[in-house]
Amino acid sequence: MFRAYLAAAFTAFGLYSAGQYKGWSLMPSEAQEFQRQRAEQQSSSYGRGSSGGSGSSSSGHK
Amino acid sequence: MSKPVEDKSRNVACPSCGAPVRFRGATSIVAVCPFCKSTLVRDGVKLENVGKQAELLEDQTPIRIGADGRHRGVGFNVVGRIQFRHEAGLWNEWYVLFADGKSGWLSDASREYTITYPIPPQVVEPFESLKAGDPIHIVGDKWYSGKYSVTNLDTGEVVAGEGELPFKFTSGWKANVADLRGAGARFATVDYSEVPPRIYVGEKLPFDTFAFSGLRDPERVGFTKGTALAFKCAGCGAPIEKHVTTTEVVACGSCGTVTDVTGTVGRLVQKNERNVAGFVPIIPLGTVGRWKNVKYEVVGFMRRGVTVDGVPYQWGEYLLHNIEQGYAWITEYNGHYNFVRTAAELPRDEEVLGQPRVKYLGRIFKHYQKSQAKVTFLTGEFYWRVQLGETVDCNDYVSPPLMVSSEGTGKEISWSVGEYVEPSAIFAAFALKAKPRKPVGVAPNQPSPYTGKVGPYWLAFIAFLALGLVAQLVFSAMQSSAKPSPVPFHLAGGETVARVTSAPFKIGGFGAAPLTVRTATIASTEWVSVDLQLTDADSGRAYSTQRSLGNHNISGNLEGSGIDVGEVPGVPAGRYTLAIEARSPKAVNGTVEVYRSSVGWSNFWLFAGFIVLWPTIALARSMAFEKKRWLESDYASDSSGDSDSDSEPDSDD
Repeated sequence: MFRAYLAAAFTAFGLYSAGQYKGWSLMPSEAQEFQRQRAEQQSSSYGRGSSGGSGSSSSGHK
Repeated sequence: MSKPVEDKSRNVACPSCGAPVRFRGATSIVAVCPFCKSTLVRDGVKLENVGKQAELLEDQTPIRIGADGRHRGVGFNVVGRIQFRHEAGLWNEWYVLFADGKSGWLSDASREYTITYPIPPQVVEPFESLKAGDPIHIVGDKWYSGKYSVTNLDTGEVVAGEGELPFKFTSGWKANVADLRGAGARFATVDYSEVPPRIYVGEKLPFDTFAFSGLRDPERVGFTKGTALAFKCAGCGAPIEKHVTTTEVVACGSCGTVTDVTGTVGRLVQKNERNVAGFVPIIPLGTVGRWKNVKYEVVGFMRRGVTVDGVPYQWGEYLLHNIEQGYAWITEYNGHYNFVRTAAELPRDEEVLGQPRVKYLGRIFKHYQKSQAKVTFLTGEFYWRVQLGETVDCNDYVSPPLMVSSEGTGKEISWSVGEYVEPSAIFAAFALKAKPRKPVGVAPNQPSPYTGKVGPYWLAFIAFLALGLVAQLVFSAMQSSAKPSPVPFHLAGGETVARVTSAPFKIGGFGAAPLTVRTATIASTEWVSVDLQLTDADSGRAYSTQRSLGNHNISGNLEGSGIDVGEVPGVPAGRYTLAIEARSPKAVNGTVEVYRSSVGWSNFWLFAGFIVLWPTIALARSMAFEKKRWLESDYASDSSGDSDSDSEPDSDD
């Protein structure tokens, strides 16, 4: 059983490292948090439309 | 090999039969003629015949006159014997002469051996005022002085003697004696037959430590199967047998009546109407087995019980006998087994607050339970006059796999040590064909399957946690290693579009984590649309995004923000240029900042939470096991015991 634990812990450590490498996170990023707060502010303004804070991104070869 | 005992013997002729009689010890004044049993007393050169000795009773002692042994490296020779009878049967005091000239007494009481030496008289409490457990302080040489406790108060009656002895005695002569136990193996006896009382001090030791030679033939004095003495039950008349000569009573398997079998005819000790109907001992009486290389025969069985909070608990006790090692027990409770022997030394109270503890052979035992055990079933032979309903005060102390227990009556406190054994081991040792029942619950001294196993889990957890922490710090350091300066842009009045391209700058980090883009306008109340393009200065790969920020005038109110935060996914580290194309109806100043966000901790905590599961579960199981252990103890409420933090599951994981 102890060996199984070591194996599981090593696997978990690998997943953790991969997550950090890829930027995976359970918590919202700075941008996501900003957007969330913006959305809250807008909804508290009786839904009178939005202004700014939106955008889109893309990537590719020039 | 022991040093040969120097022979300073003096030979005389028996005045009665003329047979040669030898006085080997300088202090020996009595010798019993081995042929005619005349008791010869010497006084200087005079030799007086004071009469014939009574017959010694066969007690299956393995020792005999002429046997050799050793104590603390000094050889001795057995030269005489006085046989006593007391409440618990027969015991022998063997007079021994040492190679260095001193003499002592080797006691054999139901195969428990003590060797003692006389010391100068001193004041001790009167016999009548003593009770079991009382302390007695013996002064004198360092090797024996100290605190002793009374363990047994008894009256012995001389049966007969043989060989040579240091004082006169007669059959029927009685003496009050108090047995004492001191630190370790120390043992003392106070003989109150004289004033002041004689005191003997020495040690209580296992049979093997004496390195005996020249003993009686174990095959002849050993198991007497097939040569048992036949009696009739004094209750129902059913045939009963006595296999061991030290047996005092036999409990009838049919009616439970207890019969005294010390004479030639059985005498009633306790009349019982019936034994517990249908109860059959798991190990049949007469079964012979070998435990730790000692051959034992099961000679008796009793059930005892206690009632705690109105709930009766019962267990079985098998009495085992070996001709040299004496008696031992196997106890069975709920399918759990213990092999029990008399304690080698008197356990000592440990001075601690709270739960009482004792120290035995350097090991600490925690108090488990105090109870009053009552005999509820009897069958077979016993070396003391046991009766149904007999009660003793018990105290159990545990230190798995051992348990030491005291049993006290007003006159005696005896200590035993039990070792938990697997049922299968007992069944194999006694060649029992039945399959042992599955043990129920946890026995007080059952070894925890988690002992020594939880610790490694926690150590591994700490190691992995440290590894993760180091990795987290490394990731954080790499991610924030390079944070470029904000790139400003300016839209002058009258312009609608501003285009700026930064000088190449370095984006740090690793992998393909997203890049955070933070755009800010300075003191502007207008909206701004910004097109951004990051271009890898080396590969030419471009990443673009569009952001909108600023304020809108809605019904006379300005709504919005001069700041925007977005992200561009999958941007590897490298050298980049940032092209900004800003649009706004009025003049505006702003900045665009492109950087890696700091590494989050959520993955680390997720990892830590995952790897802590195993140690936590292991600890919980260990604690649950310990809780079960103490469930029937006097300390169940605090679920204490030992939540053996050093443990882990070894199964079903």
